[in-house]
Amino acid sequence: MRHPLTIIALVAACAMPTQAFAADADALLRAAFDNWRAKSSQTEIAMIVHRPDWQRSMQMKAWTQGDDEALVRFVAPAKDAGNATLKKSDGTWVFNPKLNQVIKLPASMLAQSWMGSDFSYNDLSKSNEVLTDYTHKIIGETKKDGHTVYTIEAIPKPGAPVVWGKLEIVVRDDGVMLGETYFDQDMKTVRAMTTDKVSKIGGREYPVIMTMTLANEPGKWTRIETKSGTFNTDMPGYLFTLSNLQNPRN
Amino acid sequence: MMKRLRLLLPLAWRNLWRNPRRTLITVLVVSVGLWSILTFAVLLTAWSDSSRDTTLKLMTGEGQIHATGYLDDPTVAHRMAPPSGALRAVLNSAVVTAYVPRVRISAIVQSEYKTLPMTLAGVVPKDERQLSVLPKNIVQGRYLSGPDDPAIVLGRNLAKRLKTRVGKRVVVMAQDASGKLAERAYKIVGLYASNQQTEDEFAFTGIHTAQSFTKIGDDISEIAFDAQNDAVLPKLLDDLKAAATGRDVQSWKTLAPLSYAVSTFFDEFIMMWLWVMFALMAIGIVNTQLMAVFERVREFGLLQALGMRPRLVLYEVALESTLLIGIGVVLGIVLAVVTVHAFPNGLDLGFLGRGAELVGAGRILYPQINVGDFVLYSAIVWVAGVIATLWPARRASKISPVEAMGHA
Amino acid sequence: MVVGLAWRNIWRQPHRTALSLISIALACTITIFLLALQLGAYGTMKESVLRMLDGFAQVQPQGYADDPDLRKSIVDPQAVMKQLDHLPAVSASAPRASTYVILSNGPRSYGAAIFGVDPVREPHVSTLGTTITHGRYLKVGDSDAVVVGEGLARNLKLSVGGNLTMLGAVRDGSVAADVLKVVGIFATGSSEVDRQVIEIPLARFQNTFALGKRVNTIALVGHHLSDIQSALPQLHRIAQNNGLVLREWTKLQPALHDVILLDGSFSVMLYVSLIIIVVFIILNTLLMSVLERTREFGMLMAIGMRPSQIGRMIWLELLFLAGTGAAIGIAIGAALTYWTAQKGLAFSGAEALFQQWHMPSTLYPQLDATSALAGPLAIVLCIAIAGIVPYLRARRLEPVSAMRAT
Repeated sequence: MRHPLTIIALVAACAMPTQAFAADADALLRAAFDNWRAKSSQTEIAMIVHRPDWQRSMQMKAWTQGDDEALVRFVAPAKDAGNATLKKSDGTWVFNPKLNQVIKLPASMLAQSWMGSDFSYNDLSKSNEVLTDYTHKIIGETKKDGHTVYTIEAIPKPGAPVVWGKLEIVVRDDGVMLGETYFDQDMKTVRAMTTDKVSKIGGREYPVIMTMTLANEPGKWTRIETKSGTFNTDMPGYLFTLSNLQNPRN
Repeated sequence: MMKRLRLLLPLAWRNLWRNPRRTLITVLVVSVGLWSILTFAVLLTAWSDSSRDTTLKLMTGEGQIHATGYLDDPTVAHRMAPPSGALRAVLNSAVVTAYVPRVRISAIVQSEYKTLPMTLAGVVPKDERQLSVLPKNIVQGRYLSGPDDPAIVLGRNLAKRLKTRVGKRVVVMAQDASGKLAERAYKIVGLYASNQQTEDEFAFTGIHTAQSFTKIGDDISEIAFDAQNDAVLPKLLDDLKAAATGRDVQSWKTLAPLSYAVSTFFDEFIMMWLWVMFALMAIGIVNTQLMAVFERVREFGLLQALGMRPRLVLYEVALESTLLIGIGVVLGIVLAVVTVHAFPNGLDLGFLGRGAELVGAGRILYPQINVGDFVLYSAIVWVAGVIATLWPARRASKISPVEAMGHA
Repeated sequence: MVVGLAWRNIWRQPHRTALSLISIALACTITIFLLALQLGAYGTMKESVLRMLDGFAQVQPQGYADDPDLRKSIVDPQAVMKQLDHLPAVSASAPRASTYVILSNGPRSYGAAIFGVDPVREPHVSTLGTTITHGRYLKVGDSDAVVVGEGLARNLKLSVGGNLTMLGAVRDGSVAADVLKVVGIFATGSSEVDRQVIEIPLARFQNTFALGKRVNTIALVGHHLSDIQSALPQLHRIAQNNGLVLREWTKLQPALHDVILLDGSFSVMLYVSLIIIVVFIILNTLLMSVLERTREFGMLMAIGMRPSQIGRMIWLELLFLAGTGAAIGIAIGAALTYWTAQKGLAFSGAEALFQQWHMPSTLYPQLDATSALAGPLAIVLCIAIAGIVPYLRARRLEPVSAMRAT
C-alpha cells in the first residue's frame, strides 16, 4: 500500500559512491535521499504480486524527476503493456491503450489497489514523506560485510499526514537501503520491506530486489526487482505531460 | 323553549343525583374514555414526532440548503458562501429554531490497517448540539470543543472497522478547492454511537479545520435547519428559496424519504385510530345510557302517566345526558392535562432500555398538548355521546305508561 | 350448570349484549384490518425497496459482504440458480457480477459500482429497468450497452447515445478497460443508487473482467417476501451445499429493517391503547350489570349457589361475550380485509411519496393467520384477565345484604 515510487526512487538512486556518513540520522537519510532521488531517474523494474492462490508479474519502465513527478509505463505482460500512470503535483492520471484515453483519478478511487499490488494509487503520490514528515534518530549500528549498517527510527512529526506510529529504516553506510519496517501506533509491526539482494547496477551498489510483506497476512507479498537504471540524465520537458502519457515519445 | 328548559334543567340535574352510582359509572366511562383518547393522542403524536426526529436529528434537520449540484456530487466543487443578507435574515427569523453551517464532503479515511470511504463533516459544535443528537451520543472520549478543533470524532463502528481507537491518529483524504487531493492527520478524540449506517458514514471535525483542510476559505457545503413546527415549514422553504437564489433548498421529506414515508403512515394510522376510539367511546356511552334508561322505564312511565308529554321525556333524557357527559368530558380534560403535565421533563423511555434504542425511538418523549385537538376531540365525544343517548331516550319516550308501569 | 346459566344470562339483556358484542367485534375488526393493512404496507414497502436492486435475498461467496472483492465469486452460477429456481418459493433469480470502476466522460471522472446483469433474468428480479426515464433498459443482444443513474449522468454530462469510458481491475489486478454506449438512464429515487450504480450485460462484464462464467452474487425474489422468508432454511442449505452464504433482506437493507421495526413499535402502542379502551368499556358494562344484579345474586345464593360459583358464572358470561364478539369480529374483519385485499386501498395524498420509491400508491392488506388472530386473541385475553375484577366482587357478596340491595 505504500510508496512504490519511493521504492522505485530508492532503487533507482542507490547509485551512490561508497562514502562514510557521519552518524547523524537526519543527515544520513537526507543525504541518502538527496542522492537516491538524484535530479532524475530512469529504471526498468519487474514487479511480482504474490497471493496464496495466484501470482502475477509485470514489467515496467519508470521515470522520476524531483519530488513530484513520476511516470510508470507497463511493458509486459502483453495484456497490461501500454498502461501508464502519471503522477504530478496536482493529480494522478492513468492512460489505457485500449481506450486510448487519459483519465484523471477521482479522489474516491485513490485508495484502490494499483495494478493488483499491495500499493494503492494514493501511495504513488507519496514519495519523500519519510524525509519531510518524520524526525529521525539512529537507534542501532552493526557491522556487516565490511559496512556499517545503521538502524534509523523515524517518528512522524506532529500533524504530519501519516498513519504509522513509527518507521525503522535500515541503511548501509554507503546509502544502500536494507529495509524499512512500518509500525502501527501501538508500535506493532504492520508491514516490512526487506532488501533481498544488493548488487551493482550502472556501476553502483544497490538493493535490486526488495520485498514487501504484511505482518498479519503471511501469504501476501509484492516484490520489486530493478533490472537496470540510469540517473541524473536530463529529462525532456515533455516527459511528464498528459500528451506524452497518451502518445509516448519516450 | 327557554321556559321548558327552565322546567327541565332542575329536574334533569336532580335526576342525576338520585342514583349516584349510575351517574358515577357514566361519568367514569366518559371521563376515563376521553382521558385515554386525549392522553394517547398526545403520546402517539409525541412518539411519532420523536421517532421521526430520531432520523432527522442525526444529521438531516428539517431542511437543508446546498449549492446546486451538491447532492449529485458531494465534494467541495459544489460549495457556497456562508449565509448573508436576505438568507441570513430568514435563517435568523423566529420560525427557524436552529441552523448549522457545515462543510460536508466525501472523503477517505485511512488507518494503519484499512482505508475506507466516509463523509467528513466540519461543524460548529455549539450550533450542532442544537440540531443533532450525535454530539450527545459520545460513548468514548469527548465531542469537539469548538469550530477550530483540529481533532476528529468517528462513529463507533467505523473506528472498529479501521482497527483504531480514541487517542490514535487517522489520515483523511479529500479533494480540495483546486481539485487536488488534500490529506491531513486527525487525532481521534471521541467516538459516537448511532445506527450502524450513520456510524460508518459520518466523521466530525471543527468547521474551520475542514475549511482550511480543503482550502475553501470560509465557504461551506451545507446549511441544515430546524423549523419551529411542521406547519411553518412550507412557507419557510419558500422564503429560503426566494432568499437563496441559485441554491438548492430541500425539505427533509425529499432528503429522508424513508422517514417521510413512515411519518405519513404514522399520521394516517393515528387518524384511523382516533375514529375507532370515538366509535368505541360512543358504543360505551350508549351502553351505559341504555342500561340507565331501561332501569328507569317505570319512572318514565310514571312521568307520562302524570301528563308529561313523550317529547318532553325525550328532552329530559337528552338534557340529562348532556349534563352527565359534560361532567365526564370536563373531568376527562382535567385528567388528561394533569397527566401530560405530570411529565414536564418528558417521558423517559429509558425503562425500555435497549429496546427503545434498537427501534430508534427517541429515548425521551415530550408530550405536547395541542389545544385545538383537545377542544375538537372533547367536542366530538360530547356531541357523539349525546347523540348516542338519543336512541335510548327515544325508546324511553315511546314507552306507553301502561306497559312501563307493568315493567319489572 | 354454571355454563348454561352464564350463556342464558347474557341473552337476558339483548340490547346490552348486542352493544357489548358490537364493541368487541368492532375492535377485533379494526385490529384485523389495521394489522393486515400495516403488514401489507410493510410488505409493499419492503418488496418495492428490495425489488429495486437487492432482491429478497442474495446468495454470495463467503465474506463477500464485508469485503466485496471481484475475486470472491460463484464458480458455477447456473447450477446454483437451477437449485434455487427449483424451490417453489423462488420465482426468479438473477446472476450478477460487480466491482468498483472509474467512469469517465471527457475530463470528468467518478468512481462507481458496475454490475454485470443478465438482460433476460434481471428484469424478473429487479425493477430498476422500469425506472428508465430516457432510452431503454438492457436487452438480449446488447454488447457494449450501459444504463446509468440520472445523478451519475448529470455528473458526467452523459445522455443516451453518449460514450462512457470505464477503467477497473481484472480479477488478477491487471487493467480492465472498456468503452460503453449509454442506452438508458434510470431514476430509482434512491440518490445513492442513481449516482453510484451502472449496469452492463453480464457477458460483457465477464469478458472485460476475465471472470469466465463466474459471478459474484445471485439475487433472488419470490412472489412475496414472505415466501422467501419461509423458505430460508432451504435457501440456507442450498447456499451452504455450494460453499456459499445466504444474505437475508434484513442484512441487505438494514435501514429499511430499522424503519419497519420503528413503525412496528409505534403500532404496538396503537393496538395496546385500543385494547385498553375496549377492555375498559366492556368491563364497565359488566361491572354495572353486576351491581344491578346484586339482588338476583342474593336470590341465587339464597337457593344455595356459592359466591365463587356466581363469580365463575359472571366470568363465563364475560368470556362468552368476548368469544362471541371476537368470532363475529374475526368474521367481519377477515371478510372486510379480504374484500379490500382484492380491490386494493388507494392511499390518497401520498402518491408522490410512493412514486418516489416506485411503490404503488394502492395498498393491499395482507390477510394471514397473524393479522387475523393476533388482535382478537389479545382482546379476548385482556377481557378474560380484566374479568377477575367483577369475579372478585361477586365472591365478596353476602346473601342477606345482597337480597336487600335495590
